[in-house]
Amino acid sequence: MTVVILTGHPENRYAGDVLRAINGRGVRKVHVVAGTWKSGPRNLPGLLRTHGPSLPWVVAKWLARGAVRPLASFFSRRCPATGLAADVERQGGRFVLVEDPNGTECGQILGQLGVDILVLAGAPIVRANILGIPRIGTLNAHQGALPKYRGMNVVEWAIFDGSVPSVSVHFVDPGIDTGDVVATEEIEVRSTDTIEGVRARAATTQAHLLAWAVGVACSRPLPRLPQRAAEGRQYYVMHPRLRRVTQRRLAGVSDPARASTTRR
Amino acid sequence: MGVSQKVGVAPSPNGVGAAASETANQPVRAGLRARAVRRLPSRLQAWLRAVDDAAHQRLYRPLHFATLIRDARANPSGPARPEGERRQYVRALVDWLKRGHDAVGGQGVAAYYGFAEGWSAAYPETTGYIINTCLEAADRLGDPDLAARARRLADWELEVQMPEGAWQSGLTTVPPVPAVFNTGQVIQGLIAAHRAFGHARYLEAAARGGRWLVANQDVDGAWRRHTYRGFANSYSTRVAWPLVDLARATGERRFEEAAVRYLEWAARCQDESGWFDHCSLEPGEPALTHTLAYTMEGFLESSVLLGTDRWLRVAQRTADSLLHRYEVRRHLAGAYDRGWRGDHSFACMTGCAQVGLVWCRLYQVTGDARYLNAALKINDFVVTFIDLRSAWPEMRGAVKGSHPVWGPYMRFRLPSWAAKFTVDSLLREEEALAGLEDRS
Repeated sequence: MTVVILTGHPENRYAGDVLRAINGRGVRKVHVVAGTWKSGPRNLPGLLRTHGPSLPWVVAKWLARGAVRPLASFFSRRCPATGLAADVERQGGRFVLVEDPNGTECGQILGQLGVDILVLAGAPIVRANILGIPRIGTLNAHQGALPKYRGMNVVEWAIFDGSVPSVSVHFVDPGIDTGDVVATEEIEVRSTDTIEGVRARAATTQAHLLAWAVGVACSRPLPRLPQRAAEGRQYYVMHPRLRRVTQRRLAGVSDPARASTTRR
Repeated sequence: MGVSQKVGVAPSPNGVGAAASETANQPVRAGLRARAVRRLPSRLQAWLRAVDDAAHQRLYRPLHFATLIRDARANPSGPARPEGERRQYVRALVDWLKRGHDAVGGQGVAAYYGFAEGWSAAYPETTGYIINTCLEAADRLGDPDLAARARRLADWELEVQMPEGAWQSGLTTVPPVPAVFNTGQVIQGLIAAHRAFGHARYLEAAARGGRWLVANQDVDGAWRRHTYRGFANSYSTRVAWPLVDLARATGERRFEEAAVRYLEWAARCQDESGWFDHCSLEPGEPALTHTLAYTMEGFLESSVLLGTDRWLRVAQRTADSLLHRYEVRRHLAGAYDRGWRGDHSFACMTGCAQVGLVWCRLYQVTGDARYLNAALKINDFVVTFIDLRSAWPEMRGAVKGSHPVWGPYMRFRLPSWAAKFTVDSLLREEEALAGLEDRS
């Protein structure tokens, strides 16, 4: 079974957590493909549309960063692999850098690795050309109970609504958070928690839930619960005012809610 | 909205502070100059036109130049950073509206402050719905002066009502021509004045306007006569809403029947994605968020008054479509065409404030906090460009027509209706947040 973790950045901490959790399940030789790609348009009309009259300032910032990057790269070549790359190599896996996780180069590398399961960990939205490569499928963990909470900041939105925040592991399809659900696990919430604390707990839980799913996939087909589009809601980044209300609601949680898991 | 103002080609204003009128020799000289310019290379022509435009817009004035520089540095999709509390903005906005009222000698409210023209003449249409804003702000801010001004504005609307019962299109400086949309907005203001002050004359005038609207409606429910550019538009749902309200106030059922006939017609202009045909100011052109918001608001408020979900769903379809686009891109285009391709080169600030208002109301009606979330963000965006500390009273508390200020909608102008809708949206937001705080 070849497992590859796809991440958007070579130093992504969450990707490291997922890697260690999968290794902890006894799955070795997990490869990591990390992008160095920056999102956003690359042509002048696109840049103008995105940044408008402030484009000169943005370009100035890019140039400043561009001047610093070669220095960082010079020193990093003289140091042994650290962080995520070192963890991968210790387990006998390969650590590969690609410019664009959705690019043809990334597709070719995944094809060469003969990937069975692709695990997304801090990756950008992955396009159909990449999703078609893994033999079993692409897995992702989402910080919300699917299909009810799709999109961004769903831990906050769940608390805001008075629901128990959850994480879900699901297969990835070309939609956003719309693929078949594999497992769901609730996050324990206490009145002394902060939103950041609950989010951190959710991140740990989702890494372990992903590892569990990968472990199961090594021995038997994963359960798949299809989502109905009409069932869920798409949430977006929460405004700071609503975040403050959410924090107050979190403080009003009476008893530590007992976390429950739906693993099939 | 000001039919003649919407595209930024207002009739020559001669109100207080307006630019001096051209002398008889000026058109001749301009013609000679234009002919001379046409002989120059095209790039030079463009530069000369830009310089000419800058001189016309009086960009050499520190107030105008400072605005230009501020907008040139601002990132339209960057993070909004309001510098003050919401109440400070509401106060500054209503003070600016008061200056617009004073600029025309207390006879209505000036349509806009233009870089080229200064304060414009009074505008019956927008003065109509500014009455509602004044009354609500008077109550919330505890400002009796605002209530007194609302009364004077309502009295002025009675003075400028046309003999047939309608109100005119455009500013008071143009020959009066009756207009459906404008009449609807004045009716709304007069109903509010009637409720606030209890005088029957306001309601009687509104009812006369309503009867004129019913008499000029086509059999299929649309208004084609006395409309901007002479075509049936779908944004007159904001005429249907005051008509439903008028039916409630007067007990005359025919107003409600006419409104429902129009709503039926306008709903047929909507496609599955929420897009409305005939929602632009010029046939075949992209629809401004300003007119799209009028359409949504008309459906939403009619639905609330009529107690039916049918029109609410129509409003929601468009509101959801805009919400998704706004949240993904973090910027609302100034105008959208069929298929929701947006013109992101500018933001229609009036449209942004109105869309924020509609989202706030949708939160209040449906309880879906995603609407409030988006409204808070877009209100942040609008107020970020309101100058609270400007030394120039024309700019302090004003909302631009477009961001950047040279955008195509109300180019280099600060419309009174942009300030009005921003106040409305901020007050609605305050109300919604107060409800939330109570529950948490």
